[in-house]
Amino acid sequence: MSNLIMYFCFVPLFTATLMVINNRLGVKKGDPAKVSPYECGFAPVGTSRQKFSVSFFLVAILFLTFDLEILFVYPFAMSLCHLSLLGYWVFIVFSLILTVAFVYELGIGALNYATKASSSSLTSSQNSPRDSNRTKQEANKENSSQE
Amino acid sequence: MSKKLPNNVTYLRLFLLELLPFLALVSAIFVITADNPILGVLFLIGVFLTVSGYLALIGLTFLALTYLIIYVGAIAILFLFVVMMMDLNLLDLSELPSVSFPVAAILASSLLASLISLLNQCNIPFWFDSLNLIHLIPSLSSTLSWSSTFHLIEHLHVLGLALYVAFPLLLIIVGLILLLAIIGPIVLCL
Repeated sequence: MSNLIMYFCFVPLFTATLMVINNRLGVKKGDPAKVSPYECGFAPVGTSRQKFSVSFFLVAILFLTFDLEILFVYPFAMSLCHLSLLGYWVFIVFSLILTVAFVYELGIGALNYATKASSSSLTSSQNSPRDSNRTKQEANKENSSQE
Repeated sequence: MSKKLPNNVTYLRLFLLELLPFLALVSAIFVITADNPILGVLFLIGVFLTVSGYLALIGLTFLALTYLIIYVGAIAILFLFVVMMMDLNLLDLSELPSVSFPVAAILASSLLASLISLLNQCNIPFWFDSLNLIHLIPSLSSTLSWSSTFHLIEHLHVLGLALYVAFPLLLIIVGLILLLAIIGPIVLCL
């Protein structure tokens, strides 16, 4: 065990020492050309941030909330033998509330970012996800007839 | 060093009990003093990792794994998304301390005072007994000691009893909050 403690002490100490030596003794001559980000030799044109669709953020948020629901299932599963019928019904009510949320999310098609992204440029925003597939096919037929 | 350690305690465990909170503090300071916001999020992940290790050492293994799954696996990812979406220029930190230092000093000292006053109310008989988080509840700290609590019942079983039998209404309220958290972003983003 003392070997492990030596590793825990020695390795961070060693790397910190090397970084401090580099910081203090290293030569730093900053050019504007050296410091700016590399863009194949050209001068930087604006920022490099791109817009990305908000559906990715929505996927992350929905994962977080359903993950928290799963988190409550772990103690329930491990202690079910100690919980009486009360604990069982509490869990049923809790999961029913989140089933309502799940049905809402399925019905509104919150995670159908592929079909939504292609249909939003063609049709109005009042269509349901079921209609958006039909209108996408109609728009494809229109495109092929125009060609 | 000639004193015999109690059972189940090794020098590595003692060493990590001191090292991990210190690393958590260092990472937390780097979160707020990093120029690059992505570096700040990475140090926040470091805070979560060290605190998770500390919780595992204390014996709250379920909470430690929960921190890894939820905090690092979902919340830090969300922070990364937010940092990606914002178009931030690197802040010039040399201007900020002169303006915000008095406010920061007042806030930090009030929080520190409340923490110290809470810890002073606990009677901690031996510092190994401070591993038991029950000592943060001052009324209970004189009755329970470390060795008598942890081999009675396991962490997950205690959580299951507390959530589903002792405080079921709070669990239902948590379910309603999660319902709000699911429906809210859907309405906002679509």
